[in-house]
Amino acid sequence: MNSTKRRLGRRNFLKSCAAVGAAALVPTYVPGSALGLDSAVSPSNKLRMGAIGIGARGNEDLGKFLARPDVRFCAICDVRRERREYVKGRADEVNGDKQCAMYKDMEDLLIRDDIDFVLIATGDRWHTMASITAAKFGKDVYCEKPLSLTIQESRALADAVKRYGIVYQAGTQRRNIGNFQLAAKIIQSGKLGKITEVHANTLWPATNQDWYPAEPEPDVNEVDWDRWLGPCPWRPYNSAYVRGDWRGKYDFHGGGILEWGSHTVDLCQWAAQKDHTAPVRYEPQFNDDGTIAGHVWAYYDDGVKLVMRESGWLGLGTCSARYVGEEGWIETGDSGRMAVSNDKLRGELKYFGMPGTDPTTHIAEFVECVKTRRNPAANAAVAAQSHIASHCAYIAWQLKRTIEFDPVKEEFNDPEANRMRTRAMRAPYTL
Amino acid sequence: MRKLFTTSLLALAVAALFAAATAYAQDLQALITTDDEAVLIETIQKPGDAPQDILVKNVACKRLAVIGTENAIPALVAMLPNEKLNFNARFALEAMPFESVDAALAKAAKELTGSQLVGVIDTIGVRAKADSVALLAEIGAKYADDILVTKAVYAAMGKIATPEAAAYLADAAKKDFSGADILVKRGLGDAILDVAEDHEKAGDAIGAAELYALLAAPAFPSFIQDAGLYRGIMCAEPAAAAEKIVATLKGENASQADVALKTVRELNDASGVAATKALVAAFDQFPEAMQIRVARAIGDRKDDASRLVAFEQLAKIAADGSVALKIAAAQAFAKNGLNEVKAFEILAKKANFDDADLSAAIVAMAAAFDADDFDVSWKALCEKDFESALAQSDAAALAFMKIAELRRTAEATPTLVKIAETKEGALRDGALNALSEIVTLDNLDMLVQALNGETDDAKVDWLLRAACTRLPREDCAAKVAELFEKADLDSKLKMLPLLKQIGGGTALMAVANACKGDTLDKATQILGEWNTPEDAQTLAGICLTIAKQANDAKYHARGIRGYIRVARQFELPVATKIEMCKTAFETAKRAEDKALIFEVFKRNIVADNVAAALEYTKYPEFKDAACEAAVFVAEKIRDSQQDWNWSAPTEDAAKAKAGKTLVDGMKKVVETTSNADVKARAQKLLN
Repeated sequence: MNSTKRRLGRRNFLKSCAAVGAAALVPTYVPGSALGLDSAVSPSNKLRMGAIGIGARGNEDLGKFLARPDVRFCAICDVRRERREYVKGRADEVNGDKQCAMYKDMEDLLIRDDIDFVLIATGDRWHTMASITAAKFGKDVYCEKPLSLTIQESRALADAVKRYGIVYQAGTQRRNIGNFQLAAKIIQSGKLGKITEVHANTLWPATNQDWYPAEPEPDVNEVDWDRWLGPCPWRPYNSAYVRGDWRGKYDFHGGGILEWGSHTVDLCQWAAQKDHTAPVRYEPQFNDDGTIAGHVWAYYDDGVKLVMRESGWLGLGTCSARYVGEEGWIETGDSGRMAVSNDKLRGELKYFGMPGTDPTTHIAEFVECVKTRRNPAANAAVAAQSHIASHCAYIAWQLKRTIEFDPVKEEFNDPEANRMRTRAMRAPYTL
Repeated sequence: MRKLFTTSLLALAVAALFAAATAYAQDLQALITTDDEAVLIETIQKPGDAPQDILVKNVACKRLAVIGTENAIPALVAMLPNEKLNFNARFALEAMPFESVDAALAKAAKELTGSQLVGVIDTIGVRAKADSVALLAEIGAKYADDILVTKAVYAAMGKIATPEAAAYLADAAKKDFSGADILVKRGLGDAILDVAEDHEKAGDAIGAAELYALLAAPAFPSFIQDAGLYRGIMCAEPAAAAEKIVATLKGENASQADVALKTVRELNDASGVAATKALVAAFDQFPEAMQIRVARAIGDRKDDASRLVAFEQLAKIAADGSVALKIAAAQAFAKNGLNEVKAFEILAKKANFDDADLSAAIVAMAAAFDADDFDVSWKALCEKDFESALAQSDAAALAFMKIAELRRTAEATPTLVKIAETKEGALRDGALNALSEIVTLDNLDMLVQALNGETDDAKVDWLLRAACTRLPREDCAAKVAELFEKADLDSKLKMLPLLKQIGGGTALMAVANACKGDTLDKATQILGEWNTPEDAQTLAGICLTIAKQANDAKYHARGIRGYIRVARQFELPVATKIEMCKTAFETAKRAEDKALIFEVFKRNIVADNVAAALEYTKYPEFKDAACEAAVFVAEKIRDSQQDWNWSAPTEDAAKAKAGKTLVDGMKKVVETTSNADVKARAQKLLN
């Protein structure tokens, strides 16, 4: 293989790239042109993308990529024929031809020299493996959250991204959404005083070990069940899993703290300028009647408290976050609205019309970074740390006891917790 | 007929499997949390590898992964040769911290083949024990023609990363492997990167560089070569790194140019300044497309020495470059952060605003500048010379007003008001946008007046929300309430959502007062969406009053649903919520509204809600819904605390009471419900 790899999209990105840079700085008031949505880009200057595993959220992401004039969608890999054909249909319609290729094995897509980056939106079980595989092929990656199922996977991903020098953006889009950016800016500016607590909206943590009854396994061209399982333990086929009912199953899912914590713990780490570390102590909380609550409290080494909780929010939308300082607090969520503790802080607020679930600006930043080779906001290093914090909290919750964690060594003071940092992978999959 | 027969057989098989799986279910629950290792060992030693056997053994192995001792190792190792059970055994073994596991894996590796061997090699790699190298080398030699085994051996060597492992991989890379399978080439490259990274972490930059250099071999795929170049530059001496970057950017290889630009941003301070100087020296030798990329890359440098060098180059292209270079300069200035006043002076020229993209880049740059001297200079401009700055051209005016908006420059207010009053179209919109971010409570009237006659409702809504979002809440609400009273019906209907946006007690009372006449429908709708938490009790009272006093069934229902929503969504003590549910149930007229209280119980996973829900079994119409809610809550409690035996004696009085509530509750469900599924679920919980 020679080294004159096609990177057509990166050779000339002058004006559209420049405009996107402007958008990244002022995400609240983004003209269409600044998102590259209405500027003309010649076919030879387009970035070329593929996708691996496209479900409901992946389709939303895909729509945003397809709407960009500076991106051409070239190939889909999915273990389900129905999905492959659906995505090809969408892409061909936008491209005005029939050239979108379909693959069942991601390596057949990744080996293509003409693909610049991939969107990964498989089920959670595949996120780390697919991202690392893409990195090993030198492809840039936009991967839906959560990026990992274990502490070990989080670290392996961050290491691989650094090792191969790819651009990686976790699908934690709130880092590029105005109200969350402003909330982080306010706490970082010192306007709340010394930071004492950050609160992350999480979900009920539990997973289960249940299996559905076996159903006849479809032909591999319809659904490749073995590939669907990937690195996870084998279990008999049931169409419910493939239709999306894998959430809450331990083998495929990291629990409710990670489900939203991958967004909201990440927001807290970012806002509190703890992107490089994780809390050192995790305390699961109990109700008055002795039953375990859905809350976990954690503490950073400087005493700042991270509260992961599923209730008690102000109703500002899903994936809320609250930052508390000695002189006030601020809370915001997916509605775009913000609440503060006093009118002085209220003077800092802005009105944002964009919901927190919209990935448009996050994708714009990623595409900009693919072009410039800059590190994006939700890069693997910071995302790995917030995922590690979420994994630690879930381990404490499962053990129902307080545990301490060394974020440098990535070790607990608890032997059982240490043994929960990793999950073996089915051969031939390995990190 | 044959098809029917086949289908029936299949159905029978599935049913049999389901029945078997159900029979295992009880054991499974116990296995998930047991601390009895003997039970787990006994489980994995049972014969069988049918699906239900795999399920149970899988759960047992997961538990052994956490609590297993050396006693479990023989039973686990015995599973390794079985293709279906190999992975389960590895799941447990991989997590166990005992040296005897490594010895057992080594012994097994000598006897296994195929995917079972690959799996065990992977586990040996994850455990990364130095003395595994000889064994792996032996296996590598024995299975040199087996692609998957060879790749697994390389990966394991990469993870172990001892000098011996590094030497093994380096030897492999120095041989002719051009004819090897792509999987083997990739595997070797990945492993060398892995080992080299360990050298870097250990401070052995020279050793790492030697390993990275191996990856330039033509037999490696281009992406491995790129990764080697990337890491090689990152660990090189400053001068060497700078030289390599410049040479790479002058070359023809596009993907390697990407790599070089990435390193410019990420190098440490010493290498970064060397690279920045070298790039500035070579700047004129690059084609314009590369100059743009270089300008942005050096603009991203964070260290002061690099920033100084970069600024001078950026100033040159900002003054004399093409439009594209000026855009790059503006973007880079925003990141560079030095001499912001000078940077703005260079770029804020009338002609530069005529290009839309360049104008947008200048606006973004000025919005991002945060140095005090720029702030002082900008405010002075807005106070003294804003009108003349705006008079340069419409394009310049729009840009300057946008900067005032983004920086919230109050000093620009008089000029903006004048433009809003005297101009039309884009200029007026620009002024209004800026004013919405600047006006104070005292001159909110001015913005409202400026908006008089505006036909674009969305624009008016946005601008008022933008202003009200940041003004003092209660005072702003009082002002809007005052305007509301004087407004016509159409304006009132538009202002009600604005009051919700403002929130708080004053706004809530204004909406409550509007629950009459022509505004009743919209106002009650708004109450159903109210979401400032401190208003919960007041909101509940208003909704309940509406429910009790409304003559119209529609508004009665809206009131009761709003009241139940408060109990469901807002943070209140569980006892308060239970009481509110009682009130709602007694007040609601329709069965479907009464039934909404069960959703309240399902929101709080506590034993008290099991008892509270079951209070309603005395109403035959709601008996099953009450039982279902109680079982839902009990199941959630069970899922979260699988090791809690509700009937077991405990000294914790609260926990004992909760356990009794749950047991009594599930017994009541079993006795009461007519829903077979709910009954079975309750019975399962009791078991």
